Amino acid sequence: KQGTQYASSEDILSGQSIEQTVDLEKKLNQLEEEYNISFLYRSSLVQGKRSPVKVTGKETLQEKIKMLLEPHGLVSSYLDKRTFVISLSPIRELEVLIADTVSGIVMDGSTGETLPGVNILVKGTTKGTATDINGSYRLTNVGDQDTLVFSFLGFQTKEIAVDGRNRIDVQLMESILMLSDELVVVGYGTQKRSEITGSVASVSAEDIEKVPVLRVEQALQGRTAGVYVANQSGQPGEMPTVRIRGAGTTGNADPLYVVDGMPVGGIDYLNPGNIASMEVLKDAASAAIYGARAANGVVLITTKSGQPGETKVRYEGYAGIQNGWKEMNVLNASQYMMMMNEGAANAGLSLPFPVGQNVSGGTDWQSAIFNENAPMMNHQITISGGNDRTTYSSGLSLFSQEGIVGGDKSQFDRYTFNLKLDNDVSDVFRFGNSFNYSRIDRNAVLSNSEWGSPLSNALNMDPLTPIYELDEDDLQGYPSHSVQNDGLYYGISNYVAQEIVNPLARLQVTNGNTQVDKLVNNLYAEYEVLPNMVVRSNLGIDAAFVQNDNYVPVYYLNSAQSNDNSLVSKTENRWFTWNFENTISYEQDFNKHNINLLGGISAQQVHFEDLFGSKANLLMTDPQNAWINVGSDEESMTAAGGAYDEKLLSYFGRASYNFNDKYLLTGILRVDGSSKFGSNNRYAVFPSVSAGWVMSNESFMDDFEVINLLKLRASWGQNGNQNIGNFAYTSTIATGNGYSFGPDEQFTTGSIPSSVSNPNLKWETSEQLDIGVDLGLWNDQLMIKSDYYIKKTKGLLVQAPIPGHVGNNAPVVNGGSVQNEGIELSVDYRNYRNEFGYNVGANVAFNRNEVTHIGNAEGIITGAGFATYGIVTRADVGNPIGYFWGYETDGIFQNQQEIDNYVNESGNLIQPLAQPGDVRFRDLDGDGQIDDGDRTMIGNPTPDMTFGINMGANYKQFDLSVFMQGTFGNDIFNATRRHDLTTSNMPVRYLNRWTGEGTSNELPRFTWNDSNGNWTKISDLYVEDGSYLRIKNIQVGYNFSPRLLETLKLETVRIYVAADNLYTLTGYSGFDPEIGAASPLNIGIDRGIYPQARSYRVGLNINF
Amino acid sequence: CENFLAEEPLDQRVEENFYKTEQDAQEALVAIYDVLQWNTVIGYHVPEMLSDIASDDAYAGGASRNDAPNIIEVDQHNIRTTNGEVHGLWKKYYTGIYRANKYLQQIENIEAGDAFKSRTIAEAKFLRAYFYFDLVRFFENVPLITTPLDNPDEYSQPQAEPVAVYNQIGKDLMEAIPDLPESVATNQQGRITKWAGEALLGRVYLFYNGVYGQDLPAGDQTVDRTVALQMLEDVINNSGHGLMTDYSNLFTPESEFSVESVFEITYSDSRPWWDWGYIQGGEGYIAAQMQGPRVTQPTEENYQRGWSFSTVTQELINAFDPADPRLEATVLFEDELNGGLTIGYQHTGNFTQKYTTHKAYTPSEGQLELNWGNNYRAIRYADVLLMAAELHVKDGNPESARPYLDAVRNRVEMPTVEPTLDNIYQERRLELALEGQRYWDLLRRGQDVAESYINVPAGTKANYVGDDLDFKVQYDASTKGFLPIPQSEIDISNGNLIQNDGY
Repeated sequence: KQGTQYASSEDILSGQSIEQTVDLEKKLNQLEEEYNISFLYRSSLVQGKRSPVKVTGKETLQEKIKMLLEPHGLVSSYLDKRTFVISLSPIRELEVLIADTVSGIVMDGSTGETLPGVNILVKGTTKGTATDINGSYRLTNVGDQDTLVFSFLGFQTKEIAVDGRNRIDVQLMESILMLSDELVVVGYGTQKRSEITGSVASVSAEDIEKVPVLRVEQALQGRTAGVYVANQSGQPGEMPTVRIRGAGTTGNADPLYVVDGMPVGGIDYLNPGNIASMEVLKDAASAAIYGARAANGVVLITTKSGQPGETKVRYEGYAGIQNGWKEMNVLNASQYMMMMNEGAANAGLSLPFPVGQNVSGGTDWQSAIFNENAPMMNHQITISGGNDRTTYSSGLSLFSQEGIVGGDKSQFDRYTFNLKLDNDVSDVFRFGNSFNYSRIDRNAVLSNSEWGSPLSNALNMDPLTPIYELDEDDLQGYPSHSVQNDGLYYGISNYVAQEIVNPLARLQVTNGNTQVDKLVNNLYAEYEVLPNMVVRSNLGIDAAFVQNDNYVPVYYLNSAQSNDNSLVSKTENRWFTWNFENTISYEQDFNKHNINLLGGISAQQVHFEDLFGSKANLLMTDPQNAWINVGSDEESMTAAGGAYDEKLLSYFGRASYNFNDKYLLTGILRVDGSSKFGSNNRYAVFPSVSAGWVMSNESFMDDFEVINLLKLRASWGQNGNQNIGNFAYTSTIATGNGYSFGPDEQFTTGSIPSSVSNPNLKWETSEQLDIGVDLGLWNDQLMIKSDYYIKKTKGLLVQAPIPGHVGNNAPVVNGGSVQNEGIELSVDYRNYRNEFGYNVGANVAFNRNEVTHIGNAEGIITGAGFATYGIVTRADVGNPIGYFWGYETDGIFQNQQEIDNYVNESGNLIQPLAQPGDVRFRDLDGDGQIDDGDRTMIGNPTPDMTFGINMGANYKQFDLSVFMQGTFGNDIFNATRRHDLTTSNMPVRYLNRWTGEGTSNELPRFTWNDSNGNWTKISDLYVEDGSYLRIKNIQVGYNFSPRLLETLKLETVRIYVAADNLYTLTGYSGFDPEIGAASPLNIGIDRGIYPQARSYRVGLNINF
Repeated sequence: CENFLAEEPLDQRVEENFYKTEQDAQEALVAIYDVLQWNTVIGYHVPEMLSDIASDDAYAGGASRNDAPNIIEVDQHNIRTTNGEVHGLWKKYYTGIYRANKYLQQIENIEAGDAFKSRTIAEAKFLRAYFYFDLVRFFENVPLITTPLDNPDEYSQPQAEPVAVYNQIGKDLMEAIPDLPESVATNQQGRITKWAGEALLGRVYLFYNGVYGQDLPAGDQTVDRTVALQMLEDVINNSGHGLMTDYSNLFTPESEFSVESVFEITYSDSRPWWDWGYIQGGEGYIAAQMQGPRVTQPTEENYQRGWSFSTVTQELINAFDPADPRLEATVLFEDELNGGLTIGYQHTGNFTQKYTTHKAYTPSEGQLELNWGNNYRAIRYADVLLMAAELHVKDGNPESARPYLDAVRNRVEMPTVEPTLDNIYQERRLELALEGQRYWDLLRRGQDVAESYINVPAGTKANYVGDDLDFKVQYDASTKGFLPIPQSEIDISNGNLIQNDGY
């Protein structure tokens, strides 16, 4: 609107001669220097414009500014702290000025757009109003000495003295960073940022918009100190690992997700573009309001709502291509033959290949399986709007991503639809509803597994086998059900066996599909029974239908991997959760005292049912036709199905006290009852208390003008974790233990308790102390936030191994303690002084994880293993959870002399089976032999430090953002080569092996008879540094000029190009240093990880 | 509110409301039988196959040196304490023992008829004895547990003296025998009979007496040679069991539960199974899959593609008189195959003919590898005859032994031999070859005998393919032929479990 008016005045100016004018921008800069002031403005307003000057030297600053701006229809207004905001002058209406009336328009200081719905309050009274749909307001009975307070969500609150004026136009500046008046969702309510006493981190819609992510969890990666996100793999749709302040448990360490007040099982149904804000409750005191499920932290997600005003239509979309960013260098054909010969020779065995045969190249299995330029795209349309009573926001989205390995065998599609509606029925009664439906269609291949995942196969398959076997003689030996593609048979290796097969053939016979339909709906009503006392009811449902289809065709991959009978199976899982919550809240000011009370009761039930069916011997072999009806073997039909119920009943309360915005105190108590525990321990109490001191509001801080916020915080609290299966406290009767009698093989049911029971099972409790400081400088231009915490988790829910002679499965017990201690620091700086604006933010978190107690006899919880080599990770006292447990090596025996010198006290050889070139292991326990007692911590998969760096800049209509994140001090267990299969291929770096005295002191000789256990013993040879710095995203955007858009009837248009995972700085030799895992005991083991894709995207956002 | 939270499982029973009715008891009893089939708790540890591999009759075999290193260790008598198969055996037997203990504990409170109770108690005791016997002859020093350990305070258990374990076995069998039925209905075949109990007692006696040189204690009784012989004679005279006419038909589907089967462990393809992660959940006999020849073209063969484990030694073949029809019935020679064969590890050119992937047994449904229905003939009547013959000879009555030995040889139309101990041992080797008896027969004859038969120098023989070293076997007398106590069991035993000698 203003744009039109303004365009014409520029036309008039264009006729003026240049000699009489100065460059407006330059002049403003000059004034900034001269008067030590700052102008805030949108570059398009002043750029390239010239203003007439008269220099008399007698003008005041105000007059000078006015003189410069007036010809362009611009005005300036004083913000504070020597800062002026320059904007378009508002439309002036003909007004009859009434003595005690104040009116005006409220605008967004940076865009010049009018702001509807801004609250205006006469300070110290309850008198006030709000701006109408055009952003204008009118207040009567305002005294000359009164001060008006303008506040609006997402903007800085502004106080302006009336000073006898009738017209006050106001420009509000967006609250750029974590400004103190911003409202933060804290669970069953909101709190002003300045009043928060716990440790709460936020991610805004803006942040997400800037770096469009594929999954919601990724929006947390690198953005918030203390929130560690690692993608489990690069496979589309794979759930990332999210750890808030370290893993506090050996079990499920995922945080609790609460979407619009509804606790949900997972968040992959959410479209990241639909999120208004995410809050992470990191400390126990903040999370205590979620009691029994909060021990791993809580993530609160608020979806976007409509705003009163005109209907807005928004399109956001991008399309891009993805590629693998790294291939591992493995042996080529001649290197392979040479090494295999050497391995055989060293074992005293006959050579498998003729000596000195030189075959060029060989098959590059990695390039064979990587899918070049795998497409991805996202489209989303949102319509929002409303009036002063009702607002709505509705959106549709479509996301589709193909994997960089396996093409459509590794594909993720998501469709979402949502509608959010809020209605003020009257001044005291409100209700609203938020509806989300999503559909996910996913195909996945096995990832990060040494048991036949395509990537593991590609790394271990010999380079001699061709992708397709064309040799007629060789084909003679191929069984009829060898896998073929377009009439060509996939090559079958003569050299490697077991799970190592042609990865393309493997992909061809992999047919797994998962479809999810999910509906989450949350309905609420609020009634203000008394002034400031609100009763609220929430009724949410979460219904999920998950369907898995699997089809195993007839195939022959090698002699160990074949299937003679096709099979189709289908699983239907169905969850239905309802969640009913009632709260009452009360807030009141008594002079300088403010109290805020909340009480509530909540009940939840989860009902689950599943159904499984399968049938063999399909009459049609196309995967398209893989339905149970197509199976022909009637007798093979199987069916299974079951159900469970799970319930939670909770009471909770919160009391907050605030004295004069200086002293803050909050206490929370939650009582949770859960059906997961027996009657001995059904209920548990979770208390917390926190306090804050806003030092910057003390009078003695008035001298420090640069400091606008200084707050000290301290909190303590307890949270629970109940992430175990149902009925773990009792022993269910397992029926699958039958036997067949008689010649007719009559199968007879047999039943036995499924495990030893533990009726005293109770909650895992996590107790956390947090001390923090928030600092805001130069009106929040620089924000610093730091926390120290110590978090102790007791009574870990574990199924610890019990002696085999007990004869049944171990019960779940409360069997351990873990401590996480750390420091978090985040620094954000932003500067929008002129047409070049930029911001820089960095966060870093240090965490030390230590197991302090394991309650079983041996004090150990064993974790993941590798191939046939046994356990690799475990948890025991004094070490971090899931550390790598193995032997320390001490170089390579260079000659027999060194072996003979390596003796124990009684003079016996410590490694009697060693030969020159073998690894020397350290005898740590000094018992004179190398055995399990010598195994120690050889690596820690969890980082000492995680960090993220955000940088943004805009110049004129261009903007640029760079986002980097990484870890430091974590190790990776490189299990990409199957050392147990001697003939599997290997990385080129193994060529640096020992081949004679002095050749290597790092890598042992290669032998097929590893009697010394060079590789069969899990040792630090496998461990590499996994630290990395990754440029996660770079983005360059362009905003079309308003003038152009005006003719197109569009509001804003932005196009951008983005690159993800553009560059990774790491010393790690595998595909990708980012290796997450669902279990804290399985993290950081690279079994041939599905790497993150490097993608390039072009995106377009349009507001109509 | 308490009611709101008090949830019961919807699709499962819990221990508190189980063990009430005769039907419950029946299910609990069947669950003990179930463990007889468990050969894959950790790795692939079919006891009869492993013991043959440990003996001089078979090598480990498999696809390659890397296929199953644990099984190769057993073959080479160089077993790591972390050997997975060894741990699997340990867990298998204790699972069976737990289930039997649980049954014997709970049956008292179950509402059921006396006849039902006494018979099923006897069955549970037989099975417990059967599991303990395998356990103690594999590991020698094992904890003796006779009630379920439901309280974590009871988990730490020391190893019992072997004699205490054998005493429990003897006691269980002596108590079971009177209450076991003399026959079972056809559709119940596979359930324990009195004859199985008596035959097992004879087997336990021979092993215990051979290794430890003493009579078998059995609670307040003692099983000496006379008692053992009485038991075996009872089977021979009164059971109705006898020899099948045609030895070459013994291991076919038609002769399952034949007149010759005193105790047979059933496997079947009647409950098709696909789960590679929990093979013992199915009913198939994995030994058949493991021991089958690795043929390249199953369509042209009488055999499905197996995994070529337990390759048969030339020594065993040489032990046979070439005219003995049992050779052909025992060994599958590679030249009997029509198409190609993938050469595996320790390839001797010979596979077992007894428990194999013969097409007559091809599963009608389910994952081929996991559903072989070959029943394992755990105790054959021929074995009973030879055990009785051995005891008669040891008793100084070779003439009483003669008819038994003759019966075994006459059946295969081989000339009779003198009833000497050596001849009986030789006959046991031939008659029972590749049925899981040989290793125990060697061990009970003393370490020298075991060593002399089991040791093989490096080198290949007639049809062997591989390196000389692959075929070398060095028996380790310091272990007395027993397996190591699994390291992880020692690790979590709170110092209660002590490693066996030689490890």
